[in-house]
This record gives sequence, C-alpha cells and structure tokens, in this order.
Amino acid sequence: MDITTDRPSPDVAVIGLTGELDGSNFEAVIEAGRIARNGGAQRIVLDLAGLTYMGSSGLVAIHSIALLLRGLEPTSPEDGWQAIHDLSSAPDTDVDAGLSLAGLPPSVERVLDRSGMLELFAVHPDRETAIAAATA
Amino acid sequence: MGSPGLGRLIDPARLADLLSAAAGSGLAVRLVDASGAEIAASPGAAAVLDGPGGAVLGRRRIEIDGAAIGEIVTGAPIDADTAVARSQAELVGRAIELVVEEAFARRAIATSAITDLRELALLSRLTATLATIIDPTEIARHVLDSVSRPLHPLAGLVFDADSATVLASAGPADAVAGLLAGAPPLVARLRAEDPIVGSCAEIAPDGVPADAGRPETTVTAVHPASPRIGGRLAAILRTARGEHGSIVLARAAGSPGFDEANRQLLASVATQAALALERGALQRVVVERRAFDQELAIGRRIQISLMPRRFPEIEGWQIASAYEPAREVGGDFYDVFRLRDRRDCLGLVVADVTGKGIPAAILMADARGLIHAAADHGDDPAETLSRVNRILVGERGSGLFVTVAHARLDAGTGRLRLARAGHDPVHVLRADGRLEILDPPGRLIGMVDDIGTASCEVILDPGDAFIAHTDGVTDTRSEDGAFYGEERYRALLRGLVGRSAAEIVEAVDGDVRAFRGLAEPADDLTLLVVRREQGSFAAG
Repeated sequence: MDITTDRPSPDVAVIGLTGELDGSNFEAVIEAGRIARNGGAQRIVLDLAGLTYMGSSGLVAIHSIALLLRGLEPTSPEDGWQAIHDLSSAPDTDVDAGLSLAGLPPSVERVLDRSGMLELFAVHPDRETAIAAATA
Repeated sequence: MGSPGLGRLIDPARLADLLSAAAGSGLAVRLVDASGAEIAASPGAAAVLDGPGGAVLGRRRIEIDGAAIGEIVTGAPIDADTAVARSQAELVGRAIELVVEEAFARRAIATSAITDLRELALLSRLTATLATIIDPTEIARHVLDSVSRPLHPLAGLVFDADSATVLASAGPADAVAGLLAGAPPLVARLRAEDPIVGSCAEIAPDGVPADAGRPETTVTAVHPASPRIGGRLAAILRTARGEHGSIVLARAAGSPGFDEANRQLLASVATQAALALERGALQRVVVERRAFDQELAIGRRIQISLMPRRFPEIEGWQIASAYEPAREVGGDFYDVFRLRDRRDCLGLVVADVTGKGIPAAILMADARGLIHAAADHGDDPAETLSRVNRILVGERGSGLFVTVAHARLDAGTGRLRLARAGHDPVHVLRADGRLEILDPPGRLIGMVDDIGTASCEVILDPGDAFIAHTDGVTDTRSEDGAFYGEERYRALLRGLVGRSAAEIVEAVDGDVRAFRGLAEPADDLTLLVVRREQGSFAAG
C-alpha cells in the first residue's frame, strides 16, 4: 500500500491510500494521520479511491485518526497488556471530528457499512468534493 | 619491510658462481650493502676496483620497495676494451640484481606466511568475540578494535548498509570527521567497482592508488578533508546474501600508506564482520519473533480455551462448526450455550476481535462472558449486544473492536432472533433452496456508545439451516491473490440444500481450502451451522 499526504490548505490534509490496507500496514496510516495532525491539520480527508482491499484493521486506522483529530491518543491493538490497562478516554458517538472519507470503492464501502462506521463520517464521492467541503 | 640483511638473504653458491664467471670474463665485481660494507666480491676485484691498474665501469643501486639496500660495483683493468667490458658489466650487474630480487621475493613469501598466521589468529579471535554479539554497534566496535593493532590506523569508521549511519568510529575527533567527509564517495566507488564479497581497496593520500599494479582501484578521489589524514583503506562488508556495511580506515598524514598485505587482512576482517552483522540481524529478528510468538501463543491458548468443547444436545437440531486459526492475525470466537432460565433456548455467537495476541484474547474472554450474562438476563439479542458494548466502551476502553453476530434460538418453536454488531450478514438456507441474507443494523462493539442494533426474526422450519461465518471465509485469498468472496460463498451454500449441518461445514471448509491452495491463511476462519432436522416435524 502507498500512502501520500497532500496539504491543499494549512489546516487540511488529504491522505491518499493506494493498494491493500490490512493488518500489516494500518499503523502506517495512523502514523500519517499523526504527522498531518502534528503538522497543523484540523481536518483530514482520507482518500480511499485507490484501495483494492480494506480489512477490519482499516477500521482501527480510521477510528484512530478520528481520535487523533480530537486530541486523543488511540491505544494500539499491538501494545500488548498495556492496551488493556491504559484506559483511553471513552469514545463517544461523536467520532466524526474533522475526518471525512472520499472515493470509497464498493468493497471498502461494504466493510464500512457492515461495521456501521459509514454513518459516523462525512463521505464524499471524490477527493475534490471532500477538499471543497473541508476547506469551506 | 625493515632493513634487510642482504648478505644473509642471497644464496651464496649462486652468488659465487656469478662472481667467478665475471672474473673469467676479466671483470671485477663487488657487492656492498647500504652502509657500503662489502658482502661479496669476485676474485681479485679489490686490485682492479681499488688499485691504479683498473677503473670502475658501473654502479648499480639495488632497490627493494623504493629503498636502497646495496650496490653492485663493476670494473675492469684499464687495458680492457671498455665497450665490451661495459656491456659485460651491465649483464653481470643485472644478474646479481635478479638474484637479490629473487631472494627478497622468497623472504616476502616467508613474511607473508608469518603475517597469515597472525591474521589467522586475529580472525579466529575476532570470530570468537563476534559470535556472541548481536548488536551491530558492538560488532562494529570490536571490528575496529581488532584491526587497530595490525593495521595501526589513525582513525576508523564502520558504516551500516545504507552508508549513512555510523555504527562505530575510532580515533581523534578531527581525523574521524575528516574521514567521515571523504568516506561516502570512496565507499560508493568501491561498491560500484568491485561486486565481489568482502572486497577491498587502498587509496594513497594524494588520491593515487598505493599499488599501481591494481589499476581497477584508480581513483581521482576527493582529497581527504582533514590534513591529518594520509592513506586510506576501505572495505565493503558483504556476504553472499547481501551488503551489511562498510569500513574505512586512515593512517596519519606522513606515515606510510597501506599495502597489499594490509588490504588482504582488512578483506578477511570485512568478511568476518559482514557475517557477524548478518547473523546479528537474523538473531535480533529471531529474538523479537520469539517474544511476539510467545504472546501470540498465550493469546491463542486463551482463545482456544474459550471455544465450546462440545455443543449442547438439543433434540431435533444439528450443530456443527469449523474453526481454523491463521498463523498471526485473527481473533475469532464462537459459542453455543443454553440460556440459564430457558433450557430450551440456545444462545449462538460468532465474533471477530480486531487485533491479536493477549489483548485480543482478553477482550474475547470479556465479550464472551458479558454476552453470556447479558443473554441470560434478557430476551432480545440487540439489547444484549448494546449492553455488552456499553460495558466494554465505558469501562474497558481497550482500543480494540469486536464484531458479533448473536442469535437467540427457541429450539421448541424454531424462532430465531438475530442481532448484528458490525459483523458480516448471517445466512439462512431454507429447505426449499432459498438463501436468505439476515443483515439487521448494528455497529461494531467497542468504538462508540450507541451501536444502534435492532434484532430481526425468522422461523427455522425443518430442513432450514442457520449459517454464520467470519470474514476469514470471504476474505480467503488464492495463491494468485484473488478473494474467495461472497458470491462464491453464496453460490456454494445454495447447492447444499438437504445436507446436514456437518456436511455444510465440511463443504464450505473444503471449498475454501481448495480455493486457497498453498496460500497462507491470512485471518481466522469460523463457520457455525445450526440446522433443524428434516425428520423432526415429519413424524408429527
């Protein structure tokens, strides 16, 4: 999977994913989100148009970036025992905090829909529409 | 090579032959060492060379490695034909010179045999030391230590494979800095020039190779940045399987440059160092892997302990399951249990925890226990899952999610209520061949406070089968990367009408395995089938 980050404006970052998002690389996506957030991005557009596959690890990545945008530190499923003991602040229904999704391929949309996450985020047909909405 | 004892080196018999032959031709020949002391002379030479009746025709300096080690003085009586005498003197002088050079070559071979022994000792010590080290920095430090005595460099550096990271350095700071500045082009050139394992080259201070006999090492190199740096010697640390770094040494300006023996020694050390770095890297992976595997194994043990050992026996119903763990990722679990106050009712669970290892296993155990308890206290699966989610989100926030398909089956009536939390749809294969897809709403557990579940309800008549799976089934990939997919899964199920629960499980499992071929299972795979027996109503 390839990850690209564009900054169409100072407080907006567009993270584009190409290839397969799964357990082997979802942490790189969270890292890209963290870098964008630390670089001043208040809103992030995840452009998923290039994804040919997204496993359930992708859900963790999307949720983690949403938490980062709210200033929360997501716990990593890889953290071992620590993840169980470090109680992160409780997530709430208001997950959509400046994170929007763009260009969902049908297979990715299905995974998001199944998990019930689709309705938690603003979803745009393509990157341009998403950027326009984020910079408005 | 130190000052040679010229007299001891030369074979006296050969020298005597040459000298008497010279005397027979009327020539006088004397061989002297660097201090001018006579080593040998032809019979009567003193009278000709030192007396008034003769004349000195030629003096030939004998040089080895650019240093004068002696002289051959030839002469003839005054009445000899000087043109003939000069050419004869030239020949005799050249012959003696050859004897001397030959003697030196033998000595060089003997010396290199001694050097080889030292080298062997050094290498065996180095190998023994490196055998226990896996840290690349420590390996690099030992390598620099080991070459400091035999090669006496002013400064030394070991780079890792990308040539950007210095693993270890030795020597005065300014010399190291100077060496560092000049090293990358040197290493790059060496790497490009010589693709052979553990290759090596030497470079003189002015950028001219010290050994002119090795034209491939010619370099118009960047002059070392530090005035303190003289000759340099570099080696790529390479094994048959790849490059693991490089080593660059420099001598002080003004001191002799490195020679061929030095080059060979460093080449041997470089090979040892490369092997040690490669082994260290492998060992680090193994150590990390072992810790990782241990956690995975513990997680697996917890996970397996949560699976039902046998299913409750319910008259008129068949229950069958398949569970296949993936090597790494995967946190599937399933459960079939009787409800506490309704022994004729079954709780069915198929779930998938994101993540792996101990945290996933603990979440699994948590979720399983909570679903049991909540199901015992309510009759709506949607309410059960919502309650479980509230507890997991509110009290146990772990950063992990779980998708669940949970049903409550009344074995007496065949009434089945299903709730879904972010899980793949559940299928009902009717006795008449219709395949129904149950897809009630509901988000995965662990992410948000309200998962928005609602149950749906169906009646399972005789011959109908409830079939729940995890995405390990549909996400199975073939050797060429194609997905098994929902279409193939559903088409297969449609063809399984009339089959028992165990036969359905076997057919799906077999088809998935056949599709996967030799590809590694990427995720856990779970299948749970509960089928109402065809005959159970036929009698009544």
